[in-house]
This record gives sequence, C-alpha cells and structure tokens, in this order.
Amino acid sequence: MKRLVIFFLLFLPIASGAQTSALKQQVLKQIIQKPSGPNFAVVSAKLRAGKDVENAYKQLDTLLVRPYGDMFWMYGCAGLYLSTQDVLRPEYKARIRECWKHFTPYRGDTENHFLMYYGSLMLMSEVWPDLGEQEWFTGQTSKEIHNQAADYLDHWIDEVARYGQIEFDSPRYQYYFITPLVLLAEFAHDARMKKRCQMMLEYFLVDHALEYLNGNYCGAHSRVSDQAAIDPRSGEATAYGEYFFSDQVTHLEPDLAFAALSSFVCPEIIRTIANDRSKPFTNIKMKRGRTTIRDSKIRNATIVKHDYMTQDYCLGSMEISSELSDSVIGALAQPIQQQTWSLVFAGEKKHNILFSLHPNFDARELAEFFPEEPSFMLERIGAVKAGYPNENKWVGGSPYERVFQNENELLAYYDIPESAKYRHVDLYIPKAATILSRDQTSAENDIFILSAPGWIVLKYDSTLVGVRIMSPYDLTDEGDNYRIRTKTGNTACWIICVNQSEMTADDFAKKLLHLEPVKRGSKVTFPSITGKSIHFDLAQLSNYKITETHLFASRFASAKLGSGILWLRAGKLHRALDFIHAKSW
Amino acid sequence: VRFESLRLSVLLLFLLLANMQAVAQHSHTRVFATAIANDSAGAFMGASSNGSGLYQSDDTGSTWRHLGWNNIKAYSMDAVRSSNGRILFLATGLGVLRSTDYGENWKVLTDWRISEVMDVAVNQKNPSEIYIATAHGPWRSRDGGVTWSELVRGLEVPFTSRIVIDSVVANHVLLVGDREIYMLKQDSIWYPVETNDKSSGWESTPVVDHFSSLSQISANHWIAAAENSLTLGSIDSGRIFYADRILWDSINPLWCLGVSSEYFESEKTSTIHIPRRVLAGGLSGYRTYANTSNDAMSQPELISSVKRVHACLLILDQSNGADYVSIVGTLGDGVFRRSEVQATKLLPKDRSNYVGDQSLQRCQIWSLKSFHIME
Repeated sequence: MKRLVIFFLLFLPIASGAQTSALKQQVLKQIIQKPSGPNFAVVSAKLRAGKDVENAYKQLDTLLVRPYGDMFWMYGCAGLYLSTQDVLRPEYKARIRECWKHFTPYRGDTENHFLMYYGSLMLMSEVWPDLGEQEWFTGQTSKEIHNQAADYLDHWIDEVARYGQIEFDSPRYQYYFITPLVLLAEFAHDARMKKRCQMMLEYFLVDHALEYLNGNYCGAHSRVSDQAAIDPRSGEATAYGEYFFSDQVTHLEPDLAFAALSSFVCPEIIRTIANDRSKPFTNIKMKRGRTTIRDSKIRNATIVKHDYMTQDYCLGSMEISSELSDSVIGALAQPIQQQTWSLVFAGEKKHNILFSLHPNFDARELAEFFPEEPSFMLERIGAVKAGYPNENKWVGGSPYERVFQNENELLAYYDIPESAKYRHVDLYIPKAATILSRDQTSAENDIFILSAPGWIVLKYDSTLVGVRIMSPYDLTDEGDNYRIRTKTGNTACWIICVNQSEMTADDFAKKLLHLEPVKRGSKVTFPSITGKSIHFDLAQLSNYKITETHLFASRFASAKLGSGILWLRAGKLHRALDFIHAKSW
Repeated sequence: VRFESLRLSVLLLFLLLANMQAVAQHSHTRVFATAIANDSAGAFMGASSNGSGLYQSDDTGSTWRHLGWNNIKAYSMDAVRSSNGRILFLATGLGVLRSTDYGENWKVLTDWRISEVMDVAVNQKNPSEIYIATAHGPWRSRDGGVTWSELVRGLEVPFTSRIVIDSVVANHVLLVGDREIYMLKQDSIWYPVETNDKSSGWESTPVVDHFSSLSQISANHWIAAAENSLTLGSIDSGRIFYADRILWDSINPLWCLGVSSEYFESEKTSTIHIPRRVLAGGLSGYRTYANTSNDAMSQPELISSVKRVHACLLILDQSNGADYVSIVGTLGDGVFRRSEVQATKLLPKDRSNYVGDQSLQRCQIWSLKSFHIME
C-alpha cells in the first residue's frame, strides 16, 4: 500500500507556481506602461498585447536599422521574432532576416555570452532551416549553424549539470542566462534540446532559490555589479527572483516580458525552496572558476560555496582551489567583479549587507583571464570597469584572500604582500545596523594573529553580529555605511552571527570576549560560541585542495559531483532533474 | 644548327628575363593590419567594437581600407601566397575566418571549442595545413579548416600567442608560449627550445618575461623578443636561441620587432645574428636600428611620440628609391608610417601625421603583415 502511495505521488502533476495568467498579464502591463528605450522584449510585449503598436514598430525600426550589442542584440531579436511571429508584420520579418545575413554580432568570451550567441543561433537556424551560407553572417549554412549551436548547448548543459557553472550566482548575469533559457525552453524545435533547456532553466532557478532570502540573492558571487555588491536587491536577477518565487514583481526588468509571454511555470518545489526559511540550513554548492590562460596550471579552479541560511540572514562564502608555487595564498574565481563572501540580512532596508575585501588592482589578475597585453589592460581597465583601479571599491576578489566558513562563523584571512598596489582590507558595515559595542582597544602595534584587539557587536533587526578585525583599523562614516579599513596587509575579519532568539546581546558579547584564536605552528583554530571551530593550516593556503564531492548538498537539493542528476526535496514535494537522460520527474 | 640553337637559347633567356622584369615591375607589397578594437570604452577584453577587424593597404601604409566584418577582435592574419592575395585567413576572438575572394566575404571555420585565436599560419607548401595559436592552446587543421585538432601536448600553460611555420625546413613549426618557445616534434608534441644566455660569460637560462615576438629571418636564422627587452637569436633553425640584451633598452615592455630579412648580413656575436635593420617597438615608443657593420649598430632616438607600439613592419619600398618604410601599429592610436631615408621630415609626432581612414585612427592594432602581390 505504502509503495502504491509513493508510486501515485511520483506521478502527481507538479503543483503550478505563481506565474498565473493574472500575474503574467500584470507584468506585461507594467512593462508596456513603463517608459523605456528601444528594447526587443518591450516591443514584444506591446505587439502581443496590441498596445502602443505604432510606437513599438518605431522602436523596432531603431533596433533593426543599426543593430548594436552583439549577442545581447541576438537573443532579444530572436525572442521578439519567436514570441510575436503570428502578429509581426511581414516586412519586419524580412528586415530581421536581412539583419541575420549582414549584421556580424560578436560571440564574446564569457559563459553568458556563449549561451546568448549559440542559443540565438540555434533558434533562428530553426526558423530558417534550409538557407545556404550566403544567407548568414557567419558564412555557414543553416545546418552547419544549427549543428554547432546544438553541440555547444549540449556540451554546456553537460558541464554545468555535472561540474557546476562558471559565471555562477551573479545578481546581474543570472538574468542573461535565464532569458535565453526561457526562449530555448519555449521555442526550440528539437524535443530533446527543448527538454534539456527546460530542465536547465529549473536548475538555474534552484541555484537562485537556494540563496534567495526575501528578494536578496545571497552568498558569494562570481560577478556582481558595483551597486548590487552593496545593495543586494538591486541586481537584474531580482526581477526573475520576484517573478518566479514571489507573487508580485516590484523590480521590473524588460526581459520579464519574454518569461510572461512563455508557457513556463516554475515548479512549486522550487518556490518552496526559495521561501521556506522556517529553520536554518547549510547549503553547499560546487562551481568552477573562469578559465585561466596565463600564470596558472589550473584551467578552471574548483570552487565550493557555503551558505548558512536562516529566516533573518544568510552568511555565504566561497573557497577556491589553487596550485601555486609562490607566496600568493589565494585564487580568483573571476576577475574584477567577484564577491567572495557576504552576510546578507533579510530586512527590507537597502544596503542590507556586510562583507570585506582587499581591493586588488593588478595586471596579473587581468593577464590570468584576458589575452590582451597586461600592462595595456591595466592602463585602460578604468574605461571598461570604472571602479577596478579604485582603492575604495566595494567589489572584487583577491589572490591574497582566503575565506573559511563553518555555518554561522566565518573567517576572511588576508596576507597582502608589500608589492601589492593597495595593502588594506575594507569591511562594509551597513548603517542600518546598530553598533552595540565597539571595543577599540587595539594598540597600534598589534599584529595578527594572536594578539587580538576587540569585538564590534552589531544588531540588524533580530540578528546579532560579532565582528573582530585582527589588526588595527580606522572606521569611517560614509553615509549609507561604515567603512572599516585595516592598517596592515596581514589581517583577518572574524564574523559570528546569532539570532536574538538564541541569546541576548549581552550574553552574545560576553561569549565573544572569551573567544581567542589558537595558533600552533602553522595550524590555526578560530573557536566559535557553538563549539564548531574553524581550522586551517597557513602552510597549505597556496596549494589549496578542495575535497567536496557534492555539486549540491543541503536539505533541499543534492547532486553528486559528475552525476548529472539533481535531486530536490521540500517537505512532501520531490523532483529530480536527470540531465544525462533528459528526463525529469 | 648549333649557332641557331644558341641564338634561340639566348633569345629565350632574354624573353624570360624581360618577362621577369615585367612581372617585377607590376608587383607591390600589400600590408594588412589587424585591429582587436576601436579605442572606445569597453571595446576590448571580451567585447567588440565597430572599426575593429582587418585593414588592407596597397601603398605601404599611406592609405587603408577595411575588409569584411567591421566589429571583430582581429589578432592576426595569414594568406595563401600562391593565391596572390585571394585566400585570406583571419585569427580572431571568435575563431578563424576565411575569405576566398580577397576579403569581401568571410566564413567562420571554427566552432565553440576555439576562441581567442592570437595567430594563424598557413603552410605555404601545403595550404590545406593551417596552424593556430590561441590563448587556450594551439590547434591544427589539415583539411583547409574543415576539422581541427588540439595540439597541447607538452605545453605547461595553455597560453600561446604566435606560431610560425618554417618557410624552408619541412614540418618545422615554432610556437610562442607565455615564457617558452616550443618546437613541434613527432607531429604533435611541443618541446621547449633551448635558450641560453652567455652575456655574463657563463651559460645560463635567460629570464624571459613573456615572449612577444618571433620571426624567421632566413633559412636558419630566427629572432625572438621578450617583453623585458630581451632578444634571442637562433642560427640553427630555432633549435637553440641565444640571448642578447644590448639593443632595446628603454623600450619596456618590448612588444614587437620588425626585421629586414633581405639585408641580413651582419653577425653580432658568434651565437646571435642581428638583421641589418630592426624596428623595435613597445609601450614607450619605438626605434629603428640600422646595422652597418658587424659591431656597429646605430643608436637612434627613441620615438616616444608614438606610444604603445604593438606591431612593427619594415618594408623595402622599391617604388621609392629602395627606401625603407617603417609601419607601426599602436594600441589605441591606429597606424603610423615613415620613410627611413627621410626620417627627420616624417617623424610622426602627433595625430597630424596619422595615416588611414577615420575608423582606423583609434584602433588597437595587434599585428601587421606584408605580402608580395603580383598584378
């Protein structure tokens, strides 16, 4: 009988999510009404709704007269063509055809670029399946284009499903993965590809849901914008988070139109994973670093992410494998835009985040990932990523940084050499947090690691946070935040979080004062108030191995590294995504 | 009969020579410049920009025209010499492109596996064999670019930036890695070539800070350069490179060498040969050296008004009194040229001496190459 019930449960239809017809219509209405420049998704919404049609065609004229934006143009154009093909005027269809013949969009060099480029080519080669090589900007036939695009997409899905994403958990670029996947899941002709892309879309939503906290994309990020680094809800991915996981969208982005025009509905289990914060949980995810080209024997670093998610906060970080022979202690997952760790609070106020970084600014960082001349890149990088050379920046990883986390405790360790451009570490403390105590007894000559100054105790809503900077520092009021800047390059930020329901602020502060790190030889232990200490060996930081064997491990999701099968569970809900056999159940 | 035969032979020889002269009179040097970006914000490091791509000049760099894709990160190019400029290969960020109609139309030959192609070399004895050096390692095609095989065995780090097929010795290919020059052996394995530094009187391995240039000067003579102003020469077809660091002081980092192969005749030391004329360029500018005797290299002024010189070319301009023309490609300021004979008059000091069309003016030039075109 029990088996019969289980069998029956397995074949129950998946409960529909919140992307009801009403929500879709509401989102489309908001997008149509919001003033915007020419945008394929907005034009699509207007043409489908039959609203503001003449203006929509004017905008489309602009988008087709001088195509611009490479692969970003491609996926938007493909999305428009496919989602409006029954209402799009024939002359515009012809003009779009001409664009794909003459416009020479560039492929780019990142994971999101490649998905947009090959995803768009696959869809459009299915629209025009029998054209010769003179009819495409690549000089290839429709069949050649389709085969190459499908080959790439299959390869990419296999890699991500088995070994993890490269541009992972980006509050900005997640948006540029979700939209092409929405289009592929909706419009791909090939049944197997369509299914795998639908599953991939779910996979990305699971990835987001596991680190979703009241609209925030928490945890470590491979790439984050300057703004989203200090304001977690300001990234583009928030729009999709709200659309798929919540019942209303306040952060509107144009591409939501493509999702609202599609038939895809987020499975209820993924919505539950995003919203069930009834009890704290640890979350492990494995990812890969961006492919290195110079100065590294590891092509793609192995990355393991840790999150400790509660209903009030999420403490998240990443560890990165390295195989270095020099004195550098760490490694980078991505250049320029990495956020290695953060503590994100669930509260509604802006700037609800706390984190530290070393503002690395180095030709070597650029040379490791980009083929151009390192010194020239360093000279011009300011024009591409304006904040990169800035000593006050709030985004970026560092090869002189190692982060260790054990649930609600985290240690960010820094050993910055004299040769580094900047030798300070900055800690971002949101002004929305109340500083309960600040034991600034540090002497100028205090040196990491055992002669510690004191703790700063913060309160953000019901979350208590102990912060200990393991070297002298200055604290500056910057309006929305405080900036703590260390005076030495060899330091650490020690973070411990609890909920006020667990202990009072006084008890928390008293317990903190009893904590002291212990160093025996090269081995270091940072104790915690819950008894789960952080241990690491200073001698092994340069050559750092990761032994984790699970791509996903939490109470909601599990997958063995390399298996290609993701198992989900949330209460009575279960789901499996088997990418090897292109099946889900 | 013998006399008649002799007359006929002389006549045929005369006609042959006359024909060769006529051909020689109707040929010229075609120069190609490849631009990875137009110099606008965000226009490199992954992105493309209008104005990048391939440029061609048929008057030794005085005027230029753009060919093909106008927004592609073009690192380098090669041509099938026997096709007289008709068949071109372009090494780009998105792979290898081929044109069979003088650059008017292009076909992408590679797929997603191949990206950031920094150099392409066609085997001129067998043009269906093509080698490429990419930032992720070298590849080879033996069917004109239809299929490609990765050639990474022996490489410690995947980054490769230049690949040169020996124009004389068969199956001899040299590859520039980040800190090594490699030679292809056993068809598919790269071996680091021996490098030797005798400058201190002791044999030692020179410290190389990123190789930047590799050229074959003549049958046995090769010359390479590294960013830390190091020159390495080989007199045994690239099997051993000997270091020499006396030439390029104050050009740091050193990014390119332009050499005059025709005038290779001097011997600097017993282990390294220096071409008669050398153009050395880098971040701080460029110099053109004239070597008039074995031990007397000129010490010209550094032309620092043209900075970030990433590509160098020395061309013997036979139409202009056998004058040498220097063409330099910069990162961000397009292309400059000057006549070496009239150097003092034509020194490019600012943009007023800029050559090329508007779109080339702010390009990041990655390479310059020249080909002899018969008309």
